[in-house]
Amino acid sequence: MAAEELQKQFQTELDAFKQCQKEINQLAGMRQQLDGQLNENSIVKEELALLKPSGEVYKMVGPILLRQDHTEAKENIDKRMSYIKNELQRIDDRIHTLEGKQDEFRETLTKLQQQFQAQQIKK
Amino acid sequence: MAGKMIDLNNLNVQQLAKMKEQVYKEVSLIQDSLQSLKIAQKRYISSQEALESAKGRPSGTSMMIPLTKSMYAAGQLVNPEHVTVCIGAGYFLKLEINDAIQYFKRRVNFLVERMEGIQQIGLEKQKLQNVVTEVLEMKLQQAQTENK
Repeated sequence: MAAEELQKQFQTELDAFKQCQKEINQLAGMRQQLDGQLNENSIVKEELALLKPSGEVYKMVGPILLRQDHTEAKENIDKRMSYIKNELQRIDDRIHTLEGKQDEFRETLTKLQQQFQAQQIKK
Repeated sequence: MAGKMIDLNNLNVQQLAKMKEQVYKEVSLIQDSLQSLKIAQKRYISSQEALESAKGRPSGTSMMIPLTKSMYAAGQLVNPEHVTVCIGAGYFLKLEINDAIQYFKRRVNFLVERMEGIQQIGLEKQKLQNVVTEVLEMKLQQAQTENK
């Protein structure tokens, strides 16, 4: 009876552990995407900084190109970059806590397994 | 990777096999990235070449504009001094042709720098892969002779 209970508990812990792992993988994917966007935006920022005052800036809105003010474009890029940086920070924090949780799960799982094995030996 | 040094000789066969697999994955990931960077570089270079051949032509020069890869429409060059270049994130710049050529050169240089860095990492990983394979084979042979 006790063995069955242990097994049940082990299963629920294992499921929670797997859930945790899944979320970490998802977050890692998101992180990679945001990182790519940040790189792209920093390149745009560099190019905008190099642009001569006579140059014109266009922003793609749907299928059309809209003329945009030079300073406005710079501000938009800065805003976009700080938003992405915030998102990255948020995801990093979340991954960090999840990893801590994962370690806890791993510990309980090993403990449960040891208990289970000890019981098997007693029989 | 792990910050601390691990003596490969202290690992057992299973651990080594796992490590070999891991390193193999890393090496192929690096090779894939290099491949993508090379493709990107080719695109920039072909854009740059297109600009160089368009440079200095008078307005009104007639040309065939590719609508698809195999279909062209006749057109005329109206503004020979300026081109609009996509710089990413939905932004486009109207640049003088020379500035646009400089832009593409900058991008290619950036890519070359990146590729050199990645190639260096790739070489190190490959070295590691060789060492791991070697140790693994040694261990397997040892195990075989012990079993005899």
